[in-house]
Amino acid sequence: MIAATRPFRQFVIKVHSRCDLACDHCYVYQHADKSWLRRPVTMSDETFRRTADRIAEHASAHHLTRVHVVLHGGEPLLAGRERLRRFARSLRSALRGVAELDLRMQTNGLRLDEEFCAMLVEESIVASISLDGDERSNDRHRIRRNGSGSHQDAVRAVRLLGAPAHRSAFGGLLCTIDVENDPVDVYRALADLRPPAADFLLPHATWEYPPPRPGGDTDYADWLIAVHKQWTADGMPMRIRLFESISRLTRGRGSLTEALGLGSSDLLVVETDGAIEQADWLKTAYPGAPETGMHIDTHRLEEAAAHRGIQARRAGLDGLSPQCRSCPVVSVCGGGLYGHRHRAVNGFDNPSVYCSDLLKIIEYVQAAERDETDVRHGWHGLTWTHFDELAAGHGSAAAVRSLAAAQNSQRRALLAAARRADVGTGSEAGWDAVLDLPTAALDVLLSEPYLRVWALACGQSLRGADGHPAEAALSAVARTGGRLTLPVPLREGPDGPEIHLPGMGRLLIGQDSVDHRAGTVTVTASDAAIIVGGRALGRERSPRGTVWQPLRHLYADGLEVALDDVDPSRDCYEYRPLPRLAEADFRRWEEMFAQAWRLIRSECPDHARGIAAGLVTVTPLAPDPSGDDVSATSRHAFGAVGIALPRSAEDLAMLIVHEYQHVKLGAMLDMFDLLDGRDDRRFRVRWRSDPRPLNAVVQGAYAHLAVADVWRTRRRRGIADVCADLHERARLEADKWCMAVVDVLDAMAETGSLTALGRRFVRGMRAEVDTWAE
Amino acid sequence: MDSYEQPFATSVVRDLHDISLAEVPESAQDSALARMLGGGGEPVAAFQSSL
Ligand code: SF4
Repeated sequence: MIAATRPFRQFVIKVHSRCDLACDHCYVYQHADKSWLRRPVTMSDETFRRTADRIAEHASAHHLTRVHVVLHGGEPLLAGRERLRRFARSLRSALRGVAELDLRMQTNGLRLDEEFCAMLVEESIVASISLDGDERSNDRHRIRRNGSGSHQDAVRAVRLLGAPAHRSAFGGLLCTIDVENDPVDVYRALADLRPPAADFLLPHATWEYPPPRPGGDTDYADWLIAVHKQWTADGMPMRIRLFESISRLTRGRGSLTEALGLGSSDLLVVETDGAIEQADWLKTAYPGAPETGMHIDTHRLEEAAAHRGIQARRAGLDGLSPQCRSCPVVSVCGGGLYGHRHRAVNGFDNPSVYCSDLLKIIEYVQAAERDETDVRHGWHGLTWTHFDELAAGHGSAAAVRSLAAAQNSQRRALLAAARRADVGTGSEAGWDAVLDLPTAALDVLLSEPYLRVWALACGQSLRGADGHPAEAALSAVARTGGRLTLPVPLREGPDGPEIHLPGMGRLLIGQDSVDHRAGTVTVTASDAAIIVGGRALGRERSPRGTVWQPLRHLYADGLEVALDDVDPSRDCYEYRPLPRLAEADFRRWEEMFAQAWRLIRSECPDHARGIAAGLVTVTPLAPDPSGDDVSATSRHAFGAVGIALPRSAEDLAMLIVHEYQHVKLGAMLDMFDLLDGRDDRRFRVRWRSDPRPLNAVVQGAYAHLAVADVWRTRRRRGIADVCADLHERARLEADKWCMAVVDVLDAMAETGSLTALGRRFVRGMRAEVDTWAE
Repeated sequence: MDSYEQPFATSVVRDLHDISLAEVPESAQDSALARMLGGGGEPVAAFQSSL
């Protein structure tokens, strides 16, 4: 494996080090650290440019696809509108072609006006405003130097930013809790402003300076529980980061805030003078706590990763106090915000000073969600039995049907998104017909493997829907009964103008046909047939100038799979699909497929069950001139595999089993986060010469788990058949792939980059290999 | 430490089986698109002093 430091993905840039408020709970100015006094008031253009270059250098070195930057202060608006615009542009220009930029700003909002808001929209800066609730609550702390409150101005700013013209630049509201304030009043004051999101922060505190607790040990949890109750009673009108993070972490997903979870810190701060620091709330622990002694002029950002303080915050479970390590909610809590653990005598080796609150609020949210049957029933899932069957590399028919059900919902969502995005392209009649489909017909449409490929392109507005909706509606009606007539625009296919009826076939329209000149064909679906020009396609001779090419199927021992060589969306693999097969080539496929399926059933019945339940389509791919096997799957075509017909049925069986692993795992990854998504390292694997990213490693391991399994059974068959050659080759192959998979599984388990579900999945694969040794 | 109190591994995919195509909420469409495109990957555990 290639060891590398984990990259930083979030950068907080202090663009202005003073503030026009004097909030008495502020961690920058009201706590032990006074470092702000010696910093430049505003970051210079030159320092910002060098910071941007460092971030781009880091993103490029670590192949980051996206970086998150927060413009922070002090009060960032005091840096001035045009300076902030220059900063945003400088950052975007440094990152162009390197990584996507998520640019945010946290502000008190006082200086926001129309021009400022317009600049935020133009430069795609998403701003959030600090607001502690209603006027009385907010102005308890958020005051000017003369003692006057800031509520009215802050609310004016929120309204301005939330107006339709600026709403895309509105990130939400950030509220620091004061338990003297009424939780429901505070929540209502925020919710009334209709922010897209909000979060509630525990005030900064340490074991030396514990938070005020006028009511008892769990004041903060009780306060948050009151908010949670009102929020759920209101139908959760906005996202609340703290609650959402508890919910996500409980399901094995990543946290949305560094204040919760076991994920390691990936954040760096750059001060106005270019000093590289750790999260600045560490200032509350002791003066100088965030300092690293590094500077953007002299240090690459990687170097900060080696700093002791940053290392300490990346140790996950092992870095926590003994009490946290044995805590029932540690995978969700993660010991709380690092700074809240500090005590002078032993540093950060303590539970959070908010421990009793964290335990209570986490258990409350978990219990509330367990009881909330609506939430649970509104989502697809897998029983643990099915999850574990799939983790072991197989999956029963029922497990695969659960994957297919989730795919069906995703296709439905994408089809709706495609329709929404497809305005003014002339496909309205087709979309109306799709909307009018009876349930059974819509289900048939949604079971098409390649539907997601075109719906996704259309949903992203990469292309218009063209004839797809009309074709899909006609095909669905023809296959389920009913009657529908629609004009279908011709598409330009590789063999000339055509229409394609998914799951049925395609009609080639010759140059001299009437329809070709008109650009559309009127098609009727009726009595399980497609009628064009008065002729039922496939039953009667096609109209003059047209050729009907029906979708052909492969049948083998009860299994029926479409051999799709006509769908225009089948070009979704990394290899080229073959054009329509000649009849003789189709016959070769039929023959070899039947043999291969018999082998799969006899050699690996555990795999056969899942394949029988979910393999819908095989698409022939162009063979490689070198003679190497060619096969592929697309994450967007659940139920389909692409394969170039190999030399033997044995090879075809292996390719089907191998590719179907990717089909199942792709569907699992659509449903669950098995990886925390932050690990950009490359790992060496034995099945490829180039180092692979972690998601590809998991895919490869899952596929080769099945490959090793097939060779194991061939080895046994070699003995039974007394076929020495096969036995010896199978033994070598089985050992090779088994070792390759074990190596990778053990390495993955050590990455620290698996979610709780990912750990269970990898453990399941490993346990399966262990049973082979027995 | 893993946490599996639920009898079920709940996914991030909304169950839309009973929802007609015209009524699929925009939020469900957007999250399906975002998940499929996946460019941004998992959201980060964000700096807590900003949203
Ligand atoms: S609840 Fe307390 S003991 Fe448990 S992880 Fe959080 S801080 Fe540690």
